[in-house]
Amino acid sequence: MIGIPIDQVDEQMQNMYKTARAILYNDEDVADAISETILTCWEKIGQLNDNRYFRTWMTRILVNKCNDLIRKKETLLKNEAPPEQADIDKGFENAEWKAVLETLSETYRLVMMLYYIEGFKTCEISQILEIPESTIRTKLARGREQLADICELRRTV
Amino acid sequence: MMEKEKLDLLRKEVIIPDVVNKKTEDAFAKIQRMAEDHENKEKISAQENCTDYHCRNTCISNHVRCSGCLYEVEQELFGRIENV
Repeated sequence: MIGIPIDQVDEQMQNMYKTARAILYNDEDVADAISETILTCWEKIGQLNDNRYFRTWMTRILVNKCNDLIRKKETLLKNEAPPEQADIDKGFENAEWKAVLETLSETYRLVMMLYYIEGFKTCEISQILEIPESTIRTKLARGREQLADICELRRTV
Repeated sequence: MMEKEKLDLLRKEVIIPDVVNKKTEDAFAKIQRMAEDHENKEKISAQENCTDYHCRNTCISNHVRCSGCLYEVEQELFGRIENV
């Protein structure tokens, strides 16, 4: 039988999509990262000691898969001629949502997403991203500043 | 747009693109297939591991389940229950 809690995975589809989209630039890559995450969760579910941490554990796998995809693409680009067009999603779905997401710089985007959108605590984000909690707090503060600056700029223009 | 409005917009439900839904379904279908394969392999290996010639009959008569013929014993017992 399938060992992973499918209902939890289904419930988390929105969050998984948003997290992956904060790291990756097109939906095709997001789809690959999410499907690989589901398969890895199934294979490694025995390593999870407590089901209460399923969401944190799954998000950590997802972030790692996204980073793997970026690394693979970078390696491919080094060995191949650069593509004619930048590999950025051109779809109109969720256009407004994507536009707001892209106003945040890459450095703060994922941390802001995990904290404000997914509702993870800073200690959980620290586990997911494997970086110190103090760094998470700094990134959150700077991300908020950046968001406020952007809003201020928009108001004055 | 205010800072809070931006965050609210990021919180709103998005449309999961078809490509994501399709690949997710494929992943679940693959898991289903792997789970079935795994179950079948376990049954086969359990039967292959059974070295005792009389094990199966002994297990059934004593209602003991050994790892060797677990699957067959279960089937036999279920069969009996159904027949009763």
